[in-house]
Amino acid sequence: MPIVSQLFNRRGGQALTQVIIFLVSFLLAMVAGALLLLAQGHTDIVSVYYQLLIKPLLQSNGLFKVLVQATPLIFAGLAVAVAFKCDVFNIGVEGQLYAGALTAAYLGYALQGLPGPVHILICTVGAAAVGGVLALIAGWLKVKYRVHEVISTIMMNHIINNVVTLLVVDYFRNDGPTARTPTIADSARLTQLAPPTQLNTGFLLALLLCAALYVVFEKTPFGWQLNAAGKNLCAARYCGVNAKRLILTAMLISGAMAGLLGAERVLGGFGYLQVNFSPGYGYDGITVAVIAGNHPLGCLLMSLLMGLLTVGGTNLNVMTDVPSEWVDTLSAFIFIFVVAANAVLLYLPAWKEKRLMRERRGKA
Amino acid sequence: MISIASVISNTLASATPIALAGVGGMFGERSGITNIGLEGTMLFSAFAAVVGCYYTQSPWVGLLLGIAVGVLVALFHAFFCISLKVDQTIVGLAVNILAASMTVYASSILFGNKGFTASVEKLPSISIPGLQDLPFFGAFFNDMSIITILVLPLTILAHILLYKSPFGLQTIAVGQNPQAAYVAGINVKRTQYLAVLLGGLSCGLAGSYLSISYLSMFVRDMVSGRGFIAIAAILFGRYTPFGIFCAALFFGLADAVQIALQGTISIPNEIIQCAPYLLTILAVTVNEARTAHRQAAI
Repeated sequence: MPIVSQLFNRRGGQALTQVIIFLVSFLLAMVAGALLLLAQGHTDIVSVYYQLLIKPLLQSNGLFKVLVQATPLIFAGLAVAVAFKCDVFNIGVEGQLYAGALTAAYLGYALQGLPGPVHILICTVGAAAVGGVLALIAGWLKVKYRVHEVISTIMMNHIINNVVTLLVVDYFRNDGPTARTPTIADSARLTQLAPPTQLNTGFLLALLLCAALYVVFEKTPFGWQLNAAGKNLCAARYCGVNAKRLILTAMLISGAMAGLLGAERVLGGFGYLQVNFSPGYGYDGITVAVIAGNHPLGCLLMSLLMGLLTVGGTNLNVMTDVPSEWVDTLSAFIFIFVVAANAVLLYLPAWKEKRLMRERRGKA
Repeated sequence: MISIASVISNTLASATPIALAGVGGMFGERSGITNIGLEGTMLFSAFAAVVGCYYTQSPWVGLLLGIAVGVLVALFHAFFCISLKVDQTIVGLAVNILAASMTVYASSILFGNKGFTASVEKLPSISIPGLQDLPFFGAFFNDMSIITILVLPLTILAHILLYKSPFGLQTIAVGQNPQAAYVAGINVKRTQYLAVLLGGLSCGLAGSYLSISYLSMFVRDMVSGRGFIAIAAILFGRYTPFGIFCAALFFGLADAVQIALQGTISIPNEIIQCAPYLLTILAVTVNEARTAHRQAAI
């Protein structure tokens, strides 16, 4: 159906173009970051970038540290991308991941004496279910009452954060100075892949989900519907897409991913839930998904890069007077440049046409 | 014991930034440009106000810088949304993400602390002569922030600007049907730019209020959802200045009651603190359901 494919082909999403856009944006962001450093009074910019981008990989276990940081970002990026694919913004990943983490932590220490795989399965499925249901509430409010999901999910982030804090501090508290739950049972622990780093089988699960989503997006009717609804909702409806059910399903999957993020951190990383443990994974997930253009493999690559930036940023924070927030600013810059470059590319043909029309009119 | 006077004065204090950002942000909404980035704009302004105040020792310079930065951020939003036609939600999110990281970065460079900045001089508070001597209500007319006093006049001004001025009517026309407005000879892009910049201006005011009047310093993520509550107030107030003003008072009241209840009843503080956020979701839901019902009736 050539007409149908044309309807959905407004954005030129060729992989090569996207890669070039990303590389250019990355360079521009580095230039902008360098300007900030100069303003801060730094002159040795090359050394800062060396410590940020190269040095983490040369350290012992450096690569594993990067993978550890990348793991939650892969989950977060995929979570945002699934919803975003059909033009729904799940800003609530930050809240949903806490709910998932609390579920995993509670099931992890409350259930004892289960065989390992069963225990892990219960914890992860529980976390995914709780995260999914919370996202589903926002989706339901959207399709039923047309409540904008950005508002509902942001508000739910605040609510969930408060409730989780309350539950941890007052009900599931471990004796000790920090507000955290008791440590989970050994049977719920994910296998560590490269001690002493926190790299665990959760990373493999993230890779698996990446591949699974790639197949879903590219090869299944559901993926086609998501894509269609995101690009042209009217045309998608015309093709028989049930938009409401689609949005609900996308939100459910998105929330489940966020829940799994929480589970990975608890079962594979810390072994318990500590209040305010997330440095903003949910918001980083937005950056990852937008820069990756919602492509699962793009999300993977972008998460790896952000993981590298996080490790490098921590080093800079400790070794120099460059704070780790400089790195966050850097990724925000990449975000903005990618968005701008996409917009310019998208409207370039229209602008050209306009200029051509004007020239013709001038001649006539 | 809950003091009514303190609840009312807390209501006004909490409603101020929401009302300002809401009433200003309404112009953008009316022109067809949704600004999810109100939150980030306020955060940028709050920080800029403290910087201006810190280096000149004058809260007025701080206020001006806060407003200027608010307008600048709105210009960024307008350029991306109107000129580059990027998805409005994405641009808004970009503003929020950038604000969250850049303010903390700048804070650690300028003040050597990521959590909060140095303490600065506040904008003056004023007691309204005559009203402050009233027997019962006097207490909350006492010592009111100068920006809080400005809210009602600004709301009236916004009402006049929206319904009685060519600009306001053009904004409404552009928002309802840009093509028709264009054919009628309205400069669509210019109107949208102005409307968004107006939102930036009031967000600048709201952000400055938070950092140099409500508090006397910048605290990391100090806006904490108020920008989004302002958007909810715009929806709940049905895109009219007085409606938004009332919605902001409602959210302010929820916040004030929440503050008053903390520690006085057996419900944990964490649950009470959820109230404004829960109310926001409820308010928007009820509002949208009502609108849908009315549209169905027609």
